[in-house]
Amino acid sequence: MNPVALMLAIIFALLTPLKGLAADGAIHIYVGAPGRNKVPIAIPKPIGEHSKATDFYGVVTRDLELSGWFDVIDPNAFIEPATTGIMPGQFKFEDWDVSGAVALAKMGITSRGGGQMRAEVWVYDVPGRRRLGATALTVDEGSWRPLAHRLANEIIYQVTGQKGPFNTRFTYAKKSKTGKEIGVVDFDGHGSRSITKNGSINIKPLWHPGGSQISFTSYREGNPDLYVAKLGAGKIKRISSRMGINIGGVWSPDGKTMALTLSPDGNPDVYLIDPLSGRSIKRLTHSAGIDVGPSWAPDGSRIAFVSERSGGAQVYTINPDGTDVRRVTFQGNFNTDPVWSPDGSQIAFVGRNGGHFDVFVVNIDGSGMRRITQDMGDNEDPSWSPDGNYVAFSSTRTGAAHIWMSTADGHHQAQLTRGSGGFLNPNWSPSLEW
Amino acid sequence: MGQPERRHSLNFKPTWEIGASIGVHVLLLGLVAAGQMWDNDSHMFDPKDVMAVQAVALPKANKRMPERPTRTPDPPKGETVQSKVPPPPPTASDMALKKKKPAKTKGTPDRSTDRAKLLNRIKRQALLKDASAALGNKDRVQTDKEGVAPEDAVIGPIGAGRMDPELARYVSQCRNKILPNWNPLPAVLAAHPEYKVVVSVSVGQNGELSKPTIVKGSPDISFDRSAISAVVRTGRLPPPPPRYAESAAKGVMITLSAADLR
Repeated sequence: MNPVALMLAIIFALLTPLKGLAADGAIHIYVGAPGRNKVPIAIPKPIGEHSKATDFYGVVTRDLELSGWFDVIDPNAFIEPATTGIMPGQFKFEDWDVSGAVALAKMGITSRGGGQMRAEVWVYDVPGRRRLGATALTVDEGSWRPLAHRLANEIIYQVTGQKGPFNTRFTYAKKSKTGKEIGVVDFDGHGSRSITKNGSINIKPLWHPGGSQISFTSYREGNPDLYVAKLGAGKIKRISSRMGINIGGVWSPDGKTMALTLSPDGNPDVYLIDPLSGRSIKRLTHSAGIDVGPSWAPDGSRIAFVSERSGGAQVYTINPDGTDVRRVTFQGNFNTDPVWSPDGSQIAFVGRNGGHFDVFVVNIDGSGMRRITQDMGDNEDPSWSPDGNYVAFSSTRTGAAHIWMSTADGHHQAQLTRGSGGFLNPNWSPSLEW
Repeated sequence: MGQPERRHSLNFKPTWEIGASIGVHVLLLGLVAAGQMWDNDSHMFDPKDVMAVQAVALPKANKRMPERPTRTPDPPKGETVQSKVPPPPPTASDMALKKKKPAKTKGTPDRSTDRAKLLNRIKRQALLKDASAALGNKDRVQTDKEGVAPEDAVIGPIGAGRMDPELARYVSQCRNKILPNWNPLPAVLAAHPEYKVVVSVSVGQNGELSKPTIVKGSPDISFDRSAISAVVRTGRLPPPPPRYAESAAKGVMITLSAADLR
């Protein structure tokens, strides 16, 4: 720089006084959007007479708390009489200012003839003094729990603009007395039902993109073979029983191809097979080390997998024709279980850190790696929610393994399953609507 | 022809003005150097540069990674993840609605605490009343003032020149205090990232807030109310630096924007 210009610049800078205030003489503070500040929501108990009203109310409020979006306000702070109406004009918004509510969800439940029940929810913007939306549904009495989830979905949609995950399910492998069995459970940990009851070891269940089938590996015949369970028909079919392991059968997004790990020559590698016939289509990997755990990109253009080709286990991606292998993870020496996010931009995986397993998320180009869990037992088998807003995983932080979920940023985490535990390999159902 | 010019150029006569000029320049340079040293004490390097180095270093394979990788990224800030002690398992009561402890009815009531709570409540109600008045259409002050641009917010108030570090710190503290109390509807934020509301609020010497007024509103009354609520919930900011106390008492301009800057 020209010395004279430099000198002039220095003199100008020094002679310019420190600016404290704006031209208008006021202090200015700029506050950007609060991101995921929880929304204070008031949910009075449903009006109407129904034997399941209390349970129904509990399901809705728990759903909203699990979501991480809401701070459900203590009903003791409500000043409105319990019998006040739920429709616009039947109550005063001012009554809800007192509790600090930003959102208000008013519900009503009534029994209908013929073993049916009707539930409705009206969602309001308290500061805006307006109705955000409303919905009413009539279902069989026995379906009160899914109905409660649907109303919770309606509330979260009206307040946040995002569809709720409350009607999704997980398939899982659960420890039994003699092995591990495959099952399905609702989002909130209720409604668990078995897929297998063979007393053997059954692991790694994975959903079909259409949600009608589940693939899993079973030792029921002695060898770790790959099976597919058709949920509607209740049938289980073995589709790959090659020598060695047949594990991790993950359908392509169009459901026409299945990637899995086989070891016919002793060394595990990633293969593509026809999920209907089990016929081998292509061997994708040929490295000397193991190549396992395939996961399809949502557009089917790439497959993530784990390889020891560089020494420790690391996550890589590859084209479905076996070309263009790219390494994704570079930190640590044991990264496994990659799962592609629904929007295709990220991969969740498990990394070993300090003797424990934790869930991480990384951009597909290897950048932006962040930790979801830390110092909370072992956290394994991540699975994205269909909308990509959450990651589920099995965690031993409370002792026995349970299904937990976390917001994708890791800020809000919650336990989903209850009981004695032993829940492993959770896999989130592929659609928000069941 | 050239001889006289050369003679003229060599005909240098030092005067007191030139001497004074040189002296001032030397003094200024000294001040600049001192300022640089001062800055270096507080910031030996630019944190952004360090982040850049880390970002570049990440993709390198590290086969000799220690058992506990030091480069494994830190967890996101949050109680659940950061806690070294595993959180207790959520119980049924955790999942149920949180109930406030009922007011004490037995024993001698703590009058000092009650009085403080009452005073606090009255103050907040007064603030809320001010806020309600501010939201009323007839009381709503519409001016041509614009919200502060994000780039200005980073360094503090609008204005050319360098930001007073003391004020910059204060602005940052205020922002961090207000942000957790702001709860606009997420659906509005997502649908209208362009929404912005400017609230003027008087900040007392002890940081207490009063007379919140919407200076420039958004098209959405709910969004505007959320801004006023954020001020009301905040209640008190850190005491302003003494040299800015007078300005703060006249009114601090708080711009709340739907655009996510973080």
